Amino acid sequence: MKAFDQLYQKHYPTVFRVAVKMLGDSDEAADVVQEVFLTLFQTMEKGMVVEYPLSWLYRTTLNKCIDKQKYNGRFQKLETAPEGQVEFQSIEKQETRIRVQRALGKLKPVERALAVMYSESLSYKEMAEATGIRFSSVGKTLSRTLKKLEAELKNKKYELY
Amino acid sequence: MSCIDEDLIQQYIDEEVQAEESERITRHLAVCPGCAKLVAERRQWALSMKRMIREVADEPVVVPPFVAPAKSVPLGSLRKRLVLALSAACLLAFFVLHWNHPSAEKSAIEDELTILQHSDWPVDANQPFSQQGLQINLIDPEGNVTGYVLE
Ligand SMILES: [Zn+2]
Repeated sequence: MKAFDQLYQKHYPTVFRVAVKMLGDSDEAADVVQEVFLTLFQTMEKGMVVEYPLSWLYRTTLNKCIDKQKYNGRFQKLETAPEGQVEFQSIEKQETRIRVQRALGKLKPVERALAVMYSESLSYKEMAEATGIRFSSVGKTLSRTLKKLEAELKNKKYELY
Repeated sequence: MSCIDEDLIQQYIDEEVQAEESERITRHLAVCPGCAKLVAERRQWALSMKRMIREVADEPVVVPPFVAPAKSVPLGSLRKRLVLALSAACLLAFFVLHWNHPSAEKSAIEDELTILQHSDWPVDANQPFSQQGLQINLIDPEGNVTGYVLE
């Protein structure tokens, strides 16, 4: 399926990054993304048209990540930096990454989804569709979520070094 | 107009307010240094939050090959039909055995009964089991071959 292959090549990196930010673990993220594209493949194979593929991919990925986290009960492996990447980064950047990941992990799955979507510059409409938050409440919830995230980032209790 | 509340500022910097409302806010910012300062600060703050979250996963991503799943629907139904057909064949063999040798010789003969199966039996998964044309050949201890066609 040529149409599917194009979507896969084009959007895999974006979808993968979203899943990493949601789950804090690149192995788990890769599993989720594989599942998401398998669903897309089967949908297209049946001849169904996915009208806005990127929106669909975001929504499905976020929902799968939220489900996974509800199932796992918590944000896992927060301290694990993706292996093999450490040497390419400055220690400072690595520290920031761990701190942000940890702070994201303190948010509720839906709030985390909102923050991740915001970092991807998605519209309020897309955020509402993916999270189930009412469109008219997205701005307020987002503003509150970002403040919560900032508070977690400043929380000295979780300082690593 | 009155000053802008925080939620509205968030929507304004995200360009998520209606055009009319947006113009109204822009006009207010031009005459209210307090709100203008707040909006500028919030805009910076939101940008830095975005950037920080993005940095959690900003390395180049290697796209792994996608493995398309094997088509499972016909296989599954074929397997189901095969199991059904073979169960029926066993049942048939059992009845044939009883019918041919109803008495005491049964246990001795059972050991020597041979069922020949056609390995190239053509199965059409779209046809009902009764139309598969399954044939079973039984060889009894005397070496007689009896063919049974399932209908
Ligand atoms: Zn004002």
